[in-house]
Amino acid sequence: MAKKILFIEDDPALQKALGNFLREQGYDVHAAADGAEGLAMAARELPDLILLDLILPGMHGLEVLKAMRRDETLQAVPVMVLTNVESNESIEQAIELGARAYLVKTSYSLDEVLSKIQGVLGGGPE
Amino acid sequence: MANVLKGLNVVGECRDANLGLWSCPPFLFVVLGAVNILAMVISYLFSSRFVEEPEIAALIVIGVSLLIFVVGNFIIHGFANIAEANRMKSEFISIVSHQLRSPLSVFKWTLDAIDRERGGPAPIPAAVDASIKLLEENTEKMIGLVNMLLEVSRIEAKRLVLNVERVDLAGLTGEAVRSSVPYAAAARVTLEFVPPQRLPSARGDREKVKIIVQNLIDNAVRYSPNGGAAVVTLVPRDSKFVEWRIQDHGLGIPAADQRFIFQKFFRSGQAMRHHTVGSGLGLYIARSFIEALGGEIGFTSQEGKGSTFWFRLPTDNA
Repeated sequence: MAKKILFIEDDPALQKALGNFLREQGYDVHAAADGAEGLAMAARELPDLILLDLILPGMHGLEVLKAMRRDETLQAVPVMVLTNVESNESIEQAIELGARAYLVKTSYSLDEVLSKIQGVLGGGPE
Repeated sequence: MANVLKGLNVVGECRDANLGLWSCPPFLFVVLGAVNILAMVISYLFSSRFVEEPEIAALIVIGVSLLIFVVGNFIIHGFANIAEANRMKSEFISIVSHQLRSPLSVFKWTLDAIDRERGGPAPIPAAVDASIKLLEENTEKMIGLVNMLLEVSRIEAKRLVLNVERVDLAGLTGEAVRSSVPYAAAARVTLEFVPPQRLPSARGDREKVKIIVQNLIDNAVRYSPNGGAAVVTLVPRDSKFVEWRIQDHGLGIPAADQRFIFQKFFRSGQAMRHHTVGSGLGLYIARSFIEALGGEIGFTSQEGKGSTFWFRLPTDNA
């Protein structure tokens, strides 16, 4: 079974760039374009990892994270925040809410994002 | 109740807004209130003694108090406008920076994805390959520029967060020099750095110091249009500081421009003629970082001969 990744990101171009890249690597990637959809999908699909943007239409990424922490089944799913917001407050909040990593998109290449994902998932896509 | 008390905590509010007490509208408002009460008491004492009719005395008190209130309000309003403009300026930079980063991350990741085709079955034509490299370089340049804008907005909002630790200045400089050699060679500048035999460790923020070192190396290369050597040296300074310096044989800075060199957005006329690209932020950021880290930064320069930029960081005695 390929590992399942849920990618919550509203920018279709980024969805495509990172999503396709991860699919090529053999991951089973599911895409959600906003926070509410992401939450619903997380509950349905129970992914192995969630990649979460912060600035999302409707529900802010940190709210999504909070809701997940309150949910018994979603609590255990590791979340990596993948955003362009770089303020100490949001980094602190995300880590406090249990995010496993906080990556600023423009500071990481696809390969670097991949190795962070492998780090959290403990190995390759299988 | 706690909220009411919080609302009354004027000093805290001013501190949060990064305003001095005497330029902070809520504080001034409290002061104005006190002044007004005082004025009412004085004008009451004054008029009750010298004015016969109590109505007139009351009118005088009301008049004085009203005058102070109106004038004071104008002043406070002015301060409030300035404070608001200042806050919006910082917010603007931060919003613009974040909005600019979204398309930039699309560029970066899409180019990364294209890059992965290199080893693939269909070879990429040389001309296309060169164009992709050009796009990659410029994307990184713009990301760097946006990062600098963000640093400036943090400096301005006094939100600079330093992670002070032991810094191996020699190792860090060696790395920066190595990664800059190809770019320097393209500008016919030979970068030289001989790591010192013995050097105490410095105290600083590794990431910030990296940015400073890279900035100073970039400047030395960029403003040496005729090439030549740029020499980086590291020496201990009276046991309290470690000094980093880079000497180039470039344009130098005209004497008239020298005092503006660390100002935000300033670019010397010399520099503009030879190199139109440059944000005028590098040295401003470098100085803000160094000062926040308890160090010093400076330079000597002679037009046409070259410049030497240096900074000192405290040694790590712990």
